[in-house]
Amino acid sequence: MRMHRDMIRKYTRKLTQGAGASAPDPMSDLSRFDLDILGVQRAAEADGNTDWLRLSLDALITDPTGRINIFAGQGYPFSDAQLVELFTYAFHKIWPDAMLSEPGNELVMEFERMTDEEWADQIDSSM
Amino acid sequence: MARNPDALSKYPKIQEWAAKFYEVKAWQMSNTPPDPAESDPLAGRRVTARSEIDKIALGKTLLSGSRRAFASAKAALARKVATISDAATFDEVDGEIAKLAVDVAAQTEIASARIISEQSMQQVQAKFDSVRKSLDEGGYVYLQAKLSDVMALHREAESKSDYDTAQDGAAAFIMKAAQAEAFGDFYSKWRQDTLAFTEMAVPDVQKATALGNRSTCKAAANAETRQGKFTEAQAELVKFAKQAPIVEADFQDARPYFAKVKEFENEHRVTFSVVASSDVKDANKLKRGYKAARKLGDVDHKYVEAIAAIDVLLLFVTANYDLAVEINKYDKMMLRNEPYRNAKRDAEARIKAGDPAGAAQLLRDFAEDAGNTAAIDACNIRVSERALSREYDALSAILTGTEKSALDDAWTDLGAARSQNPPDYATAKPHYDKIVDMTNLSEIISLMAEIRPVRGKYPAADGYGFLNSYQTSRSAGRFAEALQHLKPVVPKVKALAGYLDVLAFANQVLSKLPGGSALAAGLTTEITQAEVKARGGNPDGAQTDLDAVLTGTDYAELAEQQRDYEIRYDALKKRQNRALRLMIINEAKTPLVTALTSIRSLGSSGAYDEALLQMHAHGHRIEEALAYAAAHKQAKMVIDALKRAVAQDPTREAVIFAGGPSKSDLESDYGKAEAKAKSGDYDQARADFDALILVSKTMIDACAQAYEDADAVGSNAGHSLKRHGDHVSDDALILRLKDGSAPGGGHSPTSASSKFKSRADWLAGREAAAEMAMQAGIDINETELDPGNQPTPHDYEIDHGKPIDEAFVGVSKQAKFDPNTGEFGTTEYYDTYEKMSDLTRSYVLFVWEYEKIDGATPEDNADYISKYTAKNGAAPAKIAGRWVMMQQYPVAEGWDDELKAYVK
Repeated sequence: MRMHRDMIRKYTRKLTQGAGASAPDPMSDLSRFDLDILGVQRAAEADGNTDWLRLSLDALITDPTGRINIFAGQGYPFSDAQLVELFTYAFHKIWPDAMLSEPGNELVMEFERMTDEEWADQIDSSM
Repeated sequence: MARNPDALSKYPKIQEWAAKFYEVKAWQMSNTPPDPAESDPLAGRRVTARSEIDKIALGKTLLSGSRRAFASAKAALARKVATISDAATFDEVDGEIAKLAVDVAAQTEIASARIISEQSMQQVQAKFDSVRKSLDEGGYVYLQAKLSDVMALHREAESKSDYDTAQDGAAAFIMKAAQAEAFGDFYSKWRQDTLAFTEMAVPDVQKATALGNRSTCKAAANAETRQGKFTEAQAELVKFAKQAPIVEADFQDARPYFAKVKEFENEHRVTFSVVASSDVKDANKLKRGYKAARKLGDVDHKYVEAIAAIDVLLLFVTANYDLAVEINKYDKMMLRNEPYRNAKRDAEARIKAGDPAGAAQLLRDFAEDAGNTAAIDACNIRVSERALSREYDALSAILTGTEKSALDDAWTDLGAARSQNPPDYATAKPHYDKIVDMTNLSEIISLMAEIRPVRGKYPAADGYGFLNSYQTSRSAGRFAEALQHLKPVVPKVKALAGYLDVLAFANQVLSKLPGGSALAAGLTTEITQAEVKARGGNPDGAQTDLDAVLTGTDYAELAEQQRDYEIRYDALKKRQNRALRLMIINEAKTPLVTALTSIRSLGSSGAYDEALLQMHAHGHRIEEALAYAAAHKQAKMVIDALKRAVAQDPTREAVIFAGGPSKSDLESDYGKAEAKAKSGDYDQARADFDALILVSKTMIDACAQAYEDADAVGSNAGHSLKRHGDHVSDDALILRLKDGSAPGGGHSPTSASSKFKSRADWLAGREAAAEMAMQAGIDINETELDPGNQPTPHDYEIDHGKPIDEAFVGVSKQAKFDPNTGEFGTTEYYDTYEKMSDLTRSYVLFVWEYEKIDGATPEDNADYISKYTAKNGAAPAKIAGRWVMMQQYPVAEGWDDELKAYVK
C-alpha cells in the first residue's frame, strides 16, 4: 500500500533528531532514546496512528534497503544498519508483545510523498 | 530545476506591451464604425492593416504571459483599425502594428532559445546528479560551482544570445562532467580497494605508513580535482600502489577479488539469502561456502581461488532460485505429503540434470493439481498467521462497519480452528477463503483512492454509472469479482477528471458569450454532443472533442484568456495564503484579501486584461507582505524572548538591557510599526521592524548568550549557538562533516552542518518554539512537574518566512572496511558535501532536564522518585528540573537550493 511518508517521518524524527540522538555517541546506549520513544508513542496514539506506525516500522526494519535512509533525518549521520537497530529497539519498546515479520511477510509498503488529504483517501474504505 | 519565469517580470518588452494594450484600448474610439460601402476612404487601409495583424502568429513556445499580452494588444489594435476615421491616427496604428510584429518575432525567437536552453539545463542537472556521489571533495566542489554558473547564465538570460551562451555553457559542463564521471568511477573503486588491501594484506606495523600514503595521494588528487584536472588527479591516486609498503603486483591481483565481493553484496545478496534459507537440497551449505570463499581471499590472499569459489556458489544460486521460491511457499509439514515429496525429489533431479526451469515447473504443476488442493489448503492455513497477519492488520485498521466485522470475525474463527490440536482444517477453510477474498480490498481501496479526488471534486462523476457493477459485487461481499469490475473502469473515471475539467471550463466560456448569439448556440451544441459521448463510456473522446472546439478559431482567444487567468489566479492565491499564514495580526491581512477579492471579481466578469495587470501588481505586493510578515514575526518573537529571559531570571534584566533601548521604548516602537502594518504600509512596517532589531542587537546577543549559558549548566544542552551561531566559519562547518569536530569543541558527527545568519533569527526561533509548546500545554518556564506527568522531549519546526541560514549538507560518506567481517561500509563522516543557502526553517527540541540527586541525573520520573525516596526517606511531592533547549538548527532536509524552497 502507499504510505504517507511525511506522517511517519514526523514520528521517526523524534527518534533520529531527539534527545538520544543529541548524545555524542548515540548508538552506544540505546536506553538514551527511551523518553524519545515514549514521545513517539504518545504522539502516534494522540493522532490515532499507532497501527500505521507499527506496520511502517515493521516494513522498514524487515526490508530496509534503499529506503530506510529516507527516515534518517538531519543530525547524527545514522547508517542504514544503525537505523534498523534503533527502529527495532523502538518497536519492541512500544509493542513488547509484537513480533517483527519474517522477511517477505512484511506488508508491502511504498513510502510516498502525499498530502494529508491524499492519505485520507488511501485509508477511506467507503464504496 | 527552475520554474518557468513570469514573462511580465522578466522581459521588459512584455511589460511594455501589457501596458500598451491598455493604452491602445483607451484611445478614443468611435462608437459607430463608418459604413464601408458608401463613405469609407480608409477601407483599403483597414483591410491591409487587419491582414497585417492576422499575420502576427503567437506560437505556443511563448510564455503564457507573453501570449496574453500580445493577444490582447492584437485584439485592441484590431478594434482600433475597425473604428478610426482619420489618416493621421491610422499612420500611428500602422506603426504600432509593425512594432508589434517585430516584437513578437523577437520574443518568439527568445522563447525558442529559452526552451532549448531549459532542456540543456535539465541535462546538466541530470548529469550532475548521476556523477555527484562518486566524486571526491575537490571534484564535487568544482563541478557544483560549474553547475551553479551555468544555471545562473540560464536564469539571468533575457535575449536569444544570452540563452545561446547558457546553452554553450551547458555543453561545456556536460563534457567536463564526463571527465569527472570517468574519474569518479576510478576513485570509487580506488578508495575501497586501497582501504581493503591495506587492512587485509599490509602487515600491522606498516599499516600506518600505507594509510598515510593513501591520505597524501587523496589530498594531492583533491587539489587537482578542485581545479577540474581529473586526469592529473587520477595520476596522483595511481601513485599509492607504487610506494612501499604496497607491492603493486599484489594490489592489482587483489582488485578483481574486491570487485567480485562488491558484485556479490550489491547484486546477489538477496537471491543468495532466498536460496540459502530454503529447503532446496544442499542449500544449507551455501553460508558456510561463502564464508570459506571469503577466508581464501581475505586471509589467505588466494584471490583467484576465492573468485572461483564465489562463482561456484553463484552458479548454484542461479540454478536453484526459481525452485527455492516455489519451495518456500510451503512449511516443513508438507514433507509428510507424498506427492509433494515426490515433486520436490523430481525437481531436484531436474536441477542436477541442468534443467532449473523444468524443476520449478514441477512444483507449479504440483500446486495446480486438484488432487493436492486439500494438502495445500491445509499448509496455507498453517502458515496464515505469519503470511497474512500484516495484511489483516492493515485492512482491519482501514475497514469500517460490516466489512470490518466480517474480516475480524473470520480472522478470529480462523485462528481458533488453526489452534486446535490437530488443526481443524475443515472449519478453518471457509474463514481462510473469506479472508483471502477480502484481501482483494487492499487493491480495491488503493484503486478507489486514485479516483476519489475526481469524485470529490465532481460529485456528478458517479452519475456516469461507471462504478455500478463494482458496487453491486462489493455490496454482495464478492470482493475478487468487485476488483475485476473495478480495474477496467478506473482509467475511465480518471479520464472523467480531464473531461469534467474541460466541461466546466467550456461552461465558463459559454457564460461569457452573449446570450442567443451564434457562438453561444454552437458551443451549447458541442457541449451536448460531448456529454453524450462521455456518458457512452468515452470521456477521453469527449474531452478531445471539446478541447478541439475551445482551441479552434471561434473560441480560442476567450478560452486562452480564461485559462491563463485561472492559472495565474490560483498561483497568486497560493502565495498570498503563505503570506497570510505568516502574518500575526488580522488587520494586516485585510488589504491583501480585499485586493485579491477585487481581482477575482474582474476575472469572474470576464475583464481578463485588467485582471492580468492587477495580478502582476498584486504579486509585488505579496512579496512586500511576505517580507513584512517575516520581520514582524521576528520582532515579536525577539521581544517576547527578552521578556521571557527576564521573567525566568530577573537578575538578567540589568545585563540584557544595558546599552540598548528600554523595554518601554521597544514596545512603543513595536506598536508604531504595527500600526503601519495595519494600514497596509507593508514596506514601511518592515523597515521599522528591521530597525527595531538593529537597535536591539546588543540586547539580542546578551539574551541569546544568557539562554545558551543557562541551558548548558550541568547538561548536554547549551551548544546551539556554539555550533550554529552566526560567528561560525564555513571551514568549521565543513570540518564537522569531515571528522565530527563540532564548532566550539566536542565531537558530534552530523549529516548537515548549518549556521544562523543572525542571533535575532536564533532567538526568534527559540521563542517561537517556546510559544508553540505553550499552545500544546507545555510551559517551558516550569521548574517542577507532578510525579504522574512523565515529560517527553518536544520538537518543533519553525517557518521564519525568510532566509535565516546557510548550510553544508553531507553527500557521500567516507569509506571503511571491517577486516573482521570483510565488509565494506561507511563511517559517520563525509568525503563530499553540498553548500546550501537561504534556508527558511529551523528545528527546535526542548527536553526536560531532571535536577540532579547526589550528583546523578535521573533518567525518568520513576528513577527520580526512586533516587529521591532513597535519599529523603519519602516520595517527592513534585519532580524538580527545567526545560532546556537541546537542539536548534536550520533545517536543510528537503531543501532545493536551485528553487530556494522546501520540496520534500
